[in-house]
Amino acid sequence: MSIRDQGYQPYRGPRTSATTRWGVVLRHTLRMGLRQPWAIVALSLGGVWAMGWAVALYLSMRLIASTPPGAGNELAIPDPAALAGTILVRWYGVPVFAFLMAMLVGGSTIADDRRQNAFSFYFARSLGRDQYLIGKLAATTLAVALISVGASMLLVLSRLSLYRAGSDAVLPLVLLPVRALALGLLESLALAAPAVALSSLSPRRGLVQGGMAALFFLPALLGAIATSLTRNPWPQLLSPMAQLEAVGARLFGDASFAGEYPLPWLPALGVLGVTIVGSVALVRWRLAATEVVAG
Amino acid sequence: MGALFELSGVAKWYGPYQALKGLDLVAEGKSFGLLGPNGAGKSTLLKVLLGLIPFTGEARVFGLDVRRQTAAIRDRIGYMPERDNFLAGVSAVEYCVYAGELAGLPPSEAMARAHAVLEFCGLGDKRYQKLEGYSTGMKQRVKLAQALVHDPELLFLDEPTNGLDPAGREEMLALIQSLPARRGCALILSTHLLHDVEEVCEEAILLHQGELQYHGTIADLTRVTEGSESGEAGESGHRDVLEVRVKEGGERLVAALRARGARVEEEGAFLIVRGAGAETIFELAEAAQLQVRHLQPRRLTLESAFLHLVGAAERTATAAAPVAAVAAGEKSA
Amino acid sequence: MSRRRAASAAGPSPERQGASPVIVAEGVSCWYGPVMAVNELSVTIGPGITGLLGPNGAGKSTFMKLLVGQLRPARGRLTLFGETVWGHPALLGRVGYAPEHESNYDEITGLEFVAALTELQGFSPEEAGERARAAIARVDLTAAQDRRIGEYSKGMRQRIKLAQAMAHEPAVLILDEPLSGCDPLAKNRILGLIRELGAAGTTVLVSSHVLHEIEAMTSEILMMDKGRILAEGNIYEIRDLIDRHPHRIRVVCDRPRALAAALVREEAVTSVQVEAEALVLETRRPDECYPLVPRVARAEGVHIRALTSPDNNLQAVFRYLTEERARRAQGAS
Repeated sequence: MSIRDQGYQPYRGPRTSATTRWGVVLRHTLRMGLRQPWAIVALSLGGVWAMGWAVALYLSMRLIASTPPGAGNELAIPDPAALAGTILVRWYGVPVFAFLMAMLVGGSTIADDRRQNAFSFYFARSLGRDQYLIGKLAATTLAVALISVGASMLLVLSRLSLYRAGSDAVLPLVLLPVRALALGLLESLALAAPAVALSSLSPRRGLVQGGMAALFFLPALLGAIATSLTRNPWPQLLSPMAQLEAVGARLFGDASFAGEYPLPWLPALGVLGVTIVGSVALVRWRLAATEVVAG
Repeated sequence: MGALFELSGVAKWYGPYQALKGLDLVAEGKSFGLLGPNGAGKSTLLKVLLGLIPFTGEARVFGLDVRRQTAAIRDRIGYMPERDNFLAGVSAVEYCVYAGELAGLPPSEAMARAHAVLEFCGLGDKRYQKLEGYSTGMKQRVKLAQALVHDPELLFLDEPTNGLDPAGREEMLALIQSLPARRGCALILSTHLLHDVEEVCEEAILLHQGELQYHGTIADLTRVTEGSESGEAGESGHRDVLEVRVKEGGERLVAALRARGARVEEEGAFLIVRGAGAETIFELAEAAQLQVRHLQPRRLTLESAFLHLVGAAERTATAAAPVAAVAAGEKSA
Repeated sequence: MSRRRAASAAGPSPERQGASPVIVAEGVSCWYGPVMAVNELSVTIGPGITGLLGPNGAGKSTFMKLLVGQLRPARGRLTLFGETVWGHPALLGRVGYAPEHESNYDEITGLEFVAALTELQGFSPEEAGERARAAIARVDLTAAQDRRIGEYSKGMRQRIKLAQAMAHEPAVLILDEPLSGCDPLAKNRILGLIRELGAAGTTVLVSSHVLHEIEAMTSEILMMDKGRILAEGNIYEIRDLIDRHPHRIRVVCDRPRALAAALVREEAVTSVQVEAEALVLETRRPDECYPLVPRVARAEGVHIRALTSPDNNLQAVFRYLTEERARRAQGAS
C-alpha cells in the first residue's frame, strides 16, 4: 500500500448555504431508502395495483361510452372523485403499500444512523439538527408520495384522458388533480412523520418497524371493531386510515368512500395534525439529546 | 489571520460538575497533542471548539466567534471521531461525497475531492466496496478521508490509531504527520498513546480536571521535567540517570551494580541506573561477560513528563489512592 | 513510586532459560470454519512476562483462547504444567484470563463482578469477596468498586478485568490487549502491576499492538503472523538473526574520530561513519562488536556518553520480520 499524492489544491470556490443542506440529506436518504429490495417491491406492487384500478376505470368508462344515452342509465358514470379518493384512502387501495414504504424508508433512517453512530458524521459539520430532520422527513414523505400521489395521479390522468364534452362536469375534473395531490401529500406526511419519529427512538430497525406496524394496524382494527359493535363512528378516530377517509370525503365532497359510519372530518384532520406535529417534536427532542463527541 | 484558536475564560458546567474551569489559551502552531487523563475535559473542549455546546467565556476559531459563526467555522474543520461513524450500505466513495456535500461542496467538487482524498489515504480500488466489509485499518483510513474531503484548515483526530496493528499504526501516523506540510491543515490530536503525539505533534495542550496544566512545545515539556527529574536524582549525590539494556543476564549486572553502591531499577527491558557512570557499567558488564546493547542518559519521554505533571496532582486528589496502596502492601506482605 | 519500590523489592527476575516450561504447544492448529486462525503452532513459554505481538488477524486472541480452554485445538497438543488444557477444567483454576472485549456486565458493580467470578473458581462467598477486594485494591479501583461497571471508563474496565483475572492468584495470566484504551495514568498502573507479577514468578502472556508498551514490560517476545509463530525469544537474539540488515550501533563520545580510527581496524566492524559528536558503525557480527566498542574506547581513552542502536527496537525488528516474510512469500509464488 502506498501513499500517493499529486500535489494538493485547496478549495477556493463557494460553499453551499448552510440553510439548504437538508437537500443533501434528502437526496442521500431517498437514494439509500429506495436501494432496499423491499422498497422496490412496495413501489412495484403499488404501481401494479394502481394500474389495475386505472384499467378498471378505463373499461367502465368505455362501457358507459358504448351505451347509447337514454337506453336506460342504470350504469352511472363513476364519479372521478370517488375513484381517486377511494384508491388513495380505502384499505384496498394503495395505503398498504404506502405504509410499507414509510416503514421501510422512514423506519430505518434515523435508527440506522443511531446504530452506526453516524450523528458525529452529520453534526460535527455545519448541518443543523433541523436541517437533518427536514431532509429525513422530506425524503420519507417523497418516497411514500411516489406510491400514494403517484398512484392517484395515474388514476386521475386516465380519468382525464376519457373526458367527454357535454356529459362531464368541468370543474370537478379540473379540481381533481389538485384534490388528489393534497390528499396524497397529507397521507404521505401522516405516514412518514410517525415512521421517522419511531426510528429516532431505537437503534434497532426491526423493533422500529414492528412497532410502527403495531401502531398502525392495531388501533385501526380495534377502532373498526368497536365502531361496528357500537354503531358509533368515534372509535375510528384511532385509525389513521379512517382519519384519512374522513378528510378525503370532505375534500372530494363525496361521503361514499368514508364508510358506513362516517367520522366527522375536522376531528380527523386534527388527529392527523397532532400526529405529524407530535412526531416532529419527538424527533427534535431526541436529536437535541444526541452526543456528537463521545466522552 | 492570527491564532488558530483562542480561548479566554472558557468554562463549562454539567449540573454540579465543572468540566472546564476557565481555560485561557492562544494556539498559534500547526499541530497540537491534546492530552489528559479520562475526564480531564478534552472532549468538552472539542465540543466547545465545534460550537456544539453552550459554555461561558469567549472562544474563537480562525478568528471567528464560536457562538455566532458556527457554520462558517465548521465548514473549515474536519473531525475524525474515535468510534466508527459510518452509514449503512454505502461505499467509501459515496460516503466521502456525502461528507463533502454536507460540508458545503458543490456535488461535482465533492465527487472529485472524494476520489482524491481516498487516493491520498491509500484506499485504492477498495473505495467502491461497501464500508461494512472493511478491515480496521481501512476503516480508520476512510474515517480520516471523510474528515479531510472538504478541505478543512483544522482537523480534530480522536484516537486515530485505535485498533491498528503496528504496521497500520506507522502508516496512519505517517499520513497524519504529512498533513500540515502537504495540505496546510493544522491538527489537534487527542489520544492516550503519547508516543503518537511525540511523533506527530509539535505542541502539547495538557488538561487535568478541567484546568490547563500545560501548553507549549513538547520539547519544552520534556525539558522542564528533565530538570525536576535530575533534581530528584541529585538527592543521592549523582547527576546522571542512565538507561541500560543488556542482551541477556541483566540480573547479574544489577547485582554487580548494586554491589558498587549504585541504585538500579528494572523497567521492563530497561535498567535504570543511578550513581554509576558509563565507564563503570561497561567495566562491570565486561567482567560479567555481558553485552551492553543500549546505554544513554535517561531521555524523558512525553509519557514520563505527562505522568510527572498529572500523577502528582492525581495522587493528592484521590483520597482513595493511599488506601489502595496500603491494601496492596498488605497483600504482597 | 510504588512501582519502583515493588520492582526493587522483588529482586532479579528468575532465570528464564533454567525454569521448567509452563506452556507448551506442539503443532497446535485451530480454524473457524475454513479460516485458519492458528496454524501448526509449536512453542514453549516459561515463567516471567512474554509479549505476544503481531498484526491484526495474526491469531493472537485465538491462541490465548486456546490457552484458557475456550477453544479446542483442531490438531496438536496444548499443555499447561504438563497437562492438556482441553477437558481439564480444574487446570483453569491456575489460569487467569482477561479477554480483549468485555462481556456485558454493565449492571453489576465492580466488586460484585470480581467476587462472582472468583466464587466460580471454587472459593467460599466470604473468601471470594475478600480476594476480590484485595485484587481491586491492587489495581487501584477501591474507590470505584461499588459503582456499576456501566459507569466505568475504558481504563477502569481494563483494570477490573485485570483484577478479575488475578483475584484467585493464578500461576498463569493471559492478558489480551490489557492496555488498549487506557489513559496514561491507568496504563502506568497496569504496567507496574504486570511487571510486579512477572517479577514474582507468575507466567504472564500479554498482547499489545503498541510495541512501546511491550518493550516497557519485557524483552521476551513471541511474534505471530497469519497463524504462525514468526519469531520467539529475546528481542536482541531475534534481531541478530535478521542478517539481511546489518546491525547499526551509534556511539556518542567525546572524540569520535579517534574511536572510529581504532574501530575501523577491527574485523567485526563493516563500516564506520563519523558525525559531529558521534559515530555510527555497521556490523554483521553484533555479538563480537558490542563488547568491542567499550573495550576499544577504554584503550583509546575515549569517553562514551551513549551507545544505542537505531534499529534495535521492537518496531524495527517487527518491520524487518514482516518484510522478510513477505519477501519469502513472494519468492515462493
